[in-house]
Amino acid sequence: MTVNVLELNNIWVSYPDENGSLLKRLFRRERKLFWALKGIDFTVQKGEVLGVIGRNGSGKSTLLRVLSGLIEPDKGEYVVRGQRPVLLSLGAGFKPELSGLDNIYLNSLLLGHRKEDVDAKLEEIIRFSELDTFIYKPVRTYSAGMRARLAFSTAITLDPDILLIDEVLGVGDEAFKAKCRQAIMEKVQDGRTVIIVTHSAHLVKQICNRVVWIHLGEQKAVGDTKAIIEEYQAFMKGKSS
Amino acid sequence: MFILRKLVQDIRQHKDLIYYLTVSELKSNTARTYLGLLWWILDPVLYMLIFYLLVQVILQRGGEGYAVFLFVALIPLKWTTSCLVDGTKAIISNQRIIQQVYVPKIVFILSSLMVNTFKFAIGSVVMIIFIAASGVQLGPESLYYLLIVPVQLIVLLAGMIFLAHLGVYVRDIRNAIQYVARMLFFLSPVLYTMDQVPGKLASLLYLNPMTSLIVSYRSILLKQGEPLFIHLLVMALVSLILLYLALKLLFRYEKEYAKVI
Repeated sequence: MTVNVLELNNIWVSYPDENGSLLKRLFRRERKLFWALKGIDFTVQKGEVLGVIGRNGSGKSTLLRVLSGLIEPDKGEYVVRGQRPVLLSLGAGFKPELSGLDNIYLNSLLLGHRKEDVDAKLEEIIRFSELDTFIYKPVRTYSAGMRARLAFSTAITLDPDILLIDEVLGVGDEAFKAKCRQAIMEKVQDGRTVIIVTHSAHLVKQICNRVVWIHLGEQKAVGDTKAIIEEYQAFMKGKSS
Repeated sequence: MFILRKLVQDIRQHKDLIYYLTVSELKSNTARTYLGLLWWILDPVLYMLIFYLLVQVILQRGGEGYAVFLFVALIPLKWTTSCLVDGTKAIISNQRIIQQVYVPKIVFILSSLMVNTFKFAIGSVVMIIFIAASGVQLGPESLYYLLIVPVQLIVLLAGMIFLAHLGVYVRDIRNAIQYVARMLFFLSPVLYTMDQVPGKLASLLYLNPMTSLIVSYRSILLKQGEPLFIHLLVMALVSLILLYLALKLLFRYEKEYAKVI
């Protein structure tokens, strides 16, 4: 039996149009809205790996924000059964003056984990990050790669039930990138629910069971990976030629 | 009821986060400074010295015990102004977080309040030592401190929530608050006493909540008198209502912030 852990029923999201000064905005009768998502409608089943594709500006990031509960849809219904999905975000809220260790705690608590869980997994996080004794140094002394390693280790080790991943993780050197990819694959094989948002058809073909294709805020297709990717690639080719 | 329940729930679920945000902000504040933690003690003292220099030394006004007189007013005033200024930034300064994870916004406001309250607590200790050292007898009335401080805390929290919300939509508020802070300072009896204010104006000054607070603090700490009970009661009631309205506003809009920031 399949369980729908997430259900999106006809989701609409708008952003306020922000042009003009305060005075103009106050006196304009109708507020202009920009619709970023127009009637998105799909479900996510437990244990599946769902890909969300679409080119830049198609509304992928907005969808991620809805999924992680950052914004509420203007219209439609978003049902979460169980834990709310957490965006595997890289280093949100890192404080450069604090040590890597302090930042692990701060970052994990921000992602909604409990302090006890961080205590328990602390060693594993540090080991995965390969930062060694640098973990006691302030994050401002880190290179970009080291920073990314710390962020990724924190996020992946304290995994939530549903993992949201934005784009390909272009972090660290090749070796670490491979390690990240492998860590994600392990989660996938673990039967964890994963949602990957990307514009890379290649990545989707590799790991996703099902795909949602979004174009200019509208849901073009949802279903079997192979068929939709072919359609998507043909569509993109048509656009560029 | 819903608002109270959400408030309690948000705080309970995020108490560790509030604590860590507060501590890390305090740590970041003094990181890379040579004097480090000493700054928290130096800060109120230097602040007081500036005005002492101006009024006592240059203008030759003020009279005996002016330093203590100033200190008792400056410490709570500084608490207020830093809270208000930080309040306007409490949400927008965390925009990177807000765009990536959902965190109840009250968490940022509370941690900002706690950072400033911690500094105020240190300032208070310095102030008490200063009062004792300058030969003023602290009577049992000084224990009213523990009554006035919570009243001021509620006022500040309510104000900070409103400002934090406004700060997201109207960036101008960050500039404007500097002038509000200065007005609160000069239009309350920090540098002068209420007797020096012309009769008609004196009652107007009480429109500034800092006036009642400062008069009360001075009374209990320096004159072994009572605080302005009625004023404090009215302030507490009004700010509880404002706090309720502020929370209502915050909870209604907090999921919109990620869109406009």
